[in-house]
Amino acid sequence: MKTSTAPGFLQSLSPASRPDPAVPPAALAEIDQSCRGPVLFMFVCGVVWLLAGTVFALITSWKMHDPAFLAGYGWLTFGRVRPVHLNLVVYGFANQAAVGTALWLMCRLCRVPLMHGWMIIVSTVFWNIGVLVGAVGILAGDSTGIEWLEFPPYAAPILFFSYALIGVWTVITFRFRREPHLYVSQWYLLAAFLWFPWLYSAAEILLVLEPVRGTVQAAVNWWFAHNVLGLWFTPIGLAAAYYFIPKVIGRPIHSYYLSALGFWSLALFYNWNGMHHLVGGPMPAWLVSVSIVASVMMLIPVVTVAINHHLTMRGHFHHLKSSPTLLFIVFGAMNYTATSVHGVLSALRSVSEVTHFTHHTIGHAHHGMYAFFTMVMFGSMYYIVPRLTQREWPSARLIYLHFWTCGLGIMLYVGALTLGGVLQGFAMNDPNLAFLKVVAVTKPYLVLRSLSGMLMTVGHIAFAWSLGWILIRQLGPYRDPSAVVLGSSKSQSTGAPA
Amino acid sequence: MSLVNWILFIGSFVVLPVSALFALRWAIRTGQLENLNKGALVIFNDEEPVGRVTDRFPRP
Amino acid sequence: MNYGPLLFLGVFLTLASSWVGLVLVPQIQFGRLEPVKIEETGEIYPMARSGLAEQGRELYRAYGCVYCHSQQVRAEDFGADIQRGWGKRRSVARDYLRDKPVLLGTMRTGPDLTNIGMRQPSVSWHLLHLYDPQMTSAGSIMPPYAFLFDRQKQGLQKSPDALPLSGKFSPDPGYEIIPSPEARALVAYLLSLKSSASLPEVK
Repeated sequence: MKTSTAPGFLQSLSPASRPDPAVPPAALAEIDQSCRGPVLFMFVCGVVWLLAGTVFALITSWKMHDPAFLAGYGWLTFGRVRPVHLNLVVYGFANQAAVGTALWLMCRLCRVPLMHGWMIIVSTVFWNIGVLVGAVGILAGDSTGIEWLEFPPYAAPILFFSYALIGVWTVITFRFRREPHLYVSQWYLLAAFLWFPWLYSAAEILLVLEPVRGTVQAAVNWWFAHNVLGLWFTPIGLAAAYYFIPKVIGRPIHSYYLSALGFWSLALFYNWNGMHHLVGGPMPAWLVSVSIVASVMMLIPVVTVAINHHLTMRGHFHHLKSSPTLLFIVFGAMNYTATSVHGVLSALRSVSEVTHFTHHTIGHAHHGMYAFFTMVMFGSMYYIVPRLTQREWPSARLIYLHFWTCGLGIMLYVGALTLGGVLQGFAMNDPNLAFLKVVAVTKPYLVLRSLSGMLMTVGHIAFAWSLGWILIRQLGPYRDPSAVVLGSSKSQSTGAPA
Repeated sequence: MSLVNWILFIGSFVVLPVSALFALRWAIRTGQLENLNKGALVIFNDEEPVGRVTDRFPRP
Repeated sequence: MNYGPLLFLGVFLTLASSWVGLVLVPQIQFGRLEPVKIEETGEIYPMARSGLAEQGRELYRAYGCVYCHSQQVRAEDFGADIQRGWGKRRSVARDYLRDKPVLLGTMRTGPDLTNIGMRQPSVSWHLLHLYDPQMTSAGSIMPPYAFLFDRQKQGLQKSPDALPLSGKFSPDPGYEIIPSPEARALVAYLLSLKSSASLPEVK
């Protein structure tokens, strides 16, 4: 079913080439088939980093209440394993889950098969080399010391080259799309793909290669780090939610107007939030205030998205019982609202006075990156992988295990650190309380965090097991021709154009 | 604030919202926002039409 | 919303707005600050650090101390930093002029270190604390940095550099613990952390 009308690579790059209007939009099966190698490769690499990042997470968390744990080695000290955890789960797992999902969504929404797959494969190889080099570099002591940008400078060109390939691929796919309309998910994906390289390059140049002077670094650092969350991961998470929720239940998004409002208000306000990480710090008051205002304004896109998703789901919540994807994504989308509202509150000066510098911040960060973004990514992968492999997931039990351990795990995590952080903050603001007493307040919550981490580890292993199993199933016979989940598979011979 | 700061301030806080309003005006005029809700149907087609549930748990 | 170029323009301009507001404007406003001369003492502030302290700073960065320790004192009416004795005044931009990278930190799992050089000027306290924080601060969750120290066989006499360890912290009989150059550098850096000079902008 592969069409021979896909342009060659050099042809794709030429500004003169145009998409052939005679070629109809591709069938879903053709699209899925073309995505198989590149996207699966990216997902598998991502899940490997998820497991590695989880190991570092457990080590880091354990060290916080048992500081002598693995303390004999310089390369394993807390100050190194903690950034390795962050960078592995963010750049190793989350980035590859995000880009893999985005590529598949892009192909589906542009209604073209994945072209020039070799670009994606090469990009993935380089990305993983970059992540490995970066992580080893941090363990060796070459961390830049800049939060969210710890990879040593020698890892950056590798990652940059990898991303450049993805960027070029995206432009080509977009130009040769066979669906003229741009769906809301595509706005978010295209925006994210433009924003991310800008953020990363600016940060790398202004903080590592030619550092700006003094506290301007802090401004750049938090403009960058916050925007990685708000302008890279959040749009991709929302793009996935806006596609999968209506797709799974078979019902269009409630209001496209709200989608447009949500997108543009996010684009306008989110990128101004960064300085709320520096409330009370050595920055001009106007800088911090403008970020607090922008943080509060975020209620507009957040409430818009929440209303839109809720009204789309209304009357259809029973589907949660029958769809793994919907389960994870609705959990994620609800937590997007929760973490965003929590973030708005945390940005207010009166709240920040208590919670800044405490574990509350870590709880909030995981609420967004995990309870929202990672769970949405799990949901996305649960939808995409069977369509790529043309196989069903092997076990509903493993999926439930994954959902409940990770869902309960992250709720326990966020609850423990939010409460613990608030108590820590109040204690810290009491000058009569010796600092060691402040530390003592936090200990039970740090133990709870380790427990929650163990729960989530079980879930990750369950997911990796499912993934490995479904990949092995590709070697065997195609087992369930009547599966509604694979409704657009070989059993339908022609993909009727829309 | 210095002159440069004022220029940048005006640029960020005045020029941008004003151009946003112009863009909105353009969008309304050229019919970008008409029939907007039709866009929500783009993800469906004959293969997976509206009303078809497209995911389920694997059967044991 | 199908028009690609319009989408691109909007997406570009929105991020450009905060790039201007949160990166460019700060750079213009305080990106070219210079050290000043303090009238009372005649010192230049901030003073350049000694070579050993700069080496120590690199270690502070490489060992990730920033993940538990902040280096920013908040204003007197915001939190209790000054009341805790973490500084005589709030931190300002000029305090960080010479820092690459700036190590403001965002966590206070351990105390703020902006003025630790004033608060705790004892070299031997720092060495003991680094070797095993439990010795000076029982109940601390800071990890031990014993790997910054060398264990060597005791000669005829104890080395003058040997750490005065006792009880469960002391090494095997016949051995002593001496700080490596790394440990010394790190302590030199910590002792250099003093930023309470009264500045014109903080009066």
